[in-house]
Amino acid sequence: MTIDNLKFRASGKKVVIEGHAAPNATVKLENLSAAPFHAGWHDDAFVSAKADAKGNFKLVLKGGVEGDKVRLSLAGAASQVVTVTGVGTDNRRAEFNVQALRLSPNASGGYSIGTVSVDDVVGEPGARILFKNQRTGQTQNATLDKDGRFPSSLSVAGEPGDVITLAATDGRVNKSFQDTCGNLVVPPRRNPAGVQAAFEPAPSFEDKGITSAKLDGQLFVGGASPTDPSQGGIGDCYLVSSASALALNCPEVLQKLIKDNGNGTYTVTFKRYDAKSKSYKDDPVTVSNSFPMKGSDTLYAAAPRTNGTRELWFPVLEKAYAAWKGGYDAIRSGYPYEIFEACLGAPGKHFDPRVEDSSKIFASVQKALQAKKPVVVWTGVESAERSYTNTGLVADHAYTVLGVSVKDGQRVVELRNPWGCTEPRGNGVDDGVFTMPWKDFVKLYDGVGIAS
Amino acid sequence: MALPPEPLAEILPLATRIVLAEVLETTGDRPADSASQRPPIGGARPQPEQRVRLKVTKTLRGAEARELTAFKPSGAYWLVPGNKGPFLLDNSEPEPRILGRYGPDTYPLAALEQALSSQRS
Repeated sequence: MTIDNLKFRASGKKVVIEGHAAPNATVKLENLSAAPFHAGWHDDAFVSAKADAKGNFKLVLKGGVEGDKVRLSLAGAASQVVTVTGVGTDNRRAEFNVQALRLSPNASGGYSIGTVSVDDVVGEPGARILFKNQRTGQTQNATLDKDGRFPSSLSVAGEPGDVITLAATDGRVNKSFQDTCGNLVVPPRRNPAGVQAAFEPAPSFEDKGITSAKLDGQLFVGGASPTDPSQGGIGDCYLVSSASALALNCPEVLQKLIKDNGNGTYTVTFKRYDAKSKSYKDDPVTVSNSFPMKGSDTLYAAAPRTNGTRELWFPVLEKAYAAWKGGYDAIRSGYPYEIFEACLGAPGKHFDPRVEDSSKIFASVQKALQAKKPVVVWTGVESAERSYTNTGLVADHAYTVLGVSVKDGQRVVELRNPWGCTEPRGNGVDDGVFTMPWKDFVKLYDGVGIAS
Repeated sequence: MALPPEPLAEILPLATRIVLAEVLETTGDRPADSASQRPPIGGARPQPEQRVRLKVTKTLRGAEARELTAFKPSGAYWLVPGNKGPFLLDNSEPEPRILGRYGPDTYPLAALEQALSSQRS
């Protein structure tokens, strides 16, 4: 079963893609140039259409431009990546997801550059990436393959704490690496026993000069609860809401994941996908009990007191994740699937309520929660089509799904804002926990992520 | 963005005027939708600044006025006519600046009234 006779034509700000496949087949399209993160089936980067009885199909790609690499796929058949041509001038700059990369010490004294996810699609297919050590000036290049995957066995030299700046070029529009994608920070090496020294992730660049304080407390006070995680002054709602979902559905995972070393340090054992063995391996990260502070409160994740005792599991998890990723700046935005994968060792599923059957998504969420699988959802970006002011919801924000139900024939979803406040009116005390009809939910939410 | 609201105790001292109001008119262009370049969750670009005309229905603090023109700084929210709620304003010139990360959605009215009441007592 193949897709052929592809034709592209421009239609305003859209690209119409016509072609031929099997009769009545569903053809899915993912714009790799626009959504290099793969799991980011946002907005118009992912569309699908059903072929007619003769096999003819038409896909409308909003926001598509000349030069876009799109992946077309049919159920049960190999996908193919094609380039959008003949619809205008290619003015797209290279896109690259620096958060998908991490540095790991290797045996030769350098640091291997690898992907953190099972899915190593990290940028626009064919893009070239420049790595530059800001201290030594040394550079290294990488070229993504035709699917936007990162090459294996690439490494850089450096010392712990060195900042590696990344820049990308697509060789057409931005030819001189002028687009900086972000930074990676070289982590400490492990000792002979394989244990990484306690690593203090750098606070956000916006919080320079902030002081830290050692906090005494217990990792868990009465076990992990979904209301324990509370977002602080960094934009990691995807992490906070995912941790809350883990606490709701599988608190035992968190208790196994985070260990108190009894010496003022904690070790969090994340799961890292190893492309060579095609399996997940334990990747322990050790952090101290010192946290950036704002007055007497933690600056980032809250460390609330329960019966006078500080509960530390979430601040520790957030700090360790920041250390794992290269600093608090590196966790400023992201996807729930990254957290589920890092904590559970399996990638999750993602649904887009705007292009997929909302009844099927509801059923999938219901089934997942019954099976104790964490579920996180997220709103869209503020736009002419979706305005969030006065809705009680926040644009570009992740929420934990606490439950779904059917009441008087109406589907309802129960959600939690990871701030621990701010919710639609009429939901009682402002604790961030609220319910809303599913029919309203699908109008305002862009994504549903379910852990495997 | 998607950061929690600033603590009310930090913003309240800056608010020389607090009104319940409805947006009558706005100026400022929202950037064209760039749906295909949406960043990961929490990484959206801030919405641009606006100037807004407000119809005041109640004054909770400061000088009373029926209408006000205010400046909405670049941030995580966008205002359209019909939006309403409590607006905390500073004394910037030429227009007061709307305080709070989410404008009229930043603080529930009940929390504001309680904070103002406890300041008075």
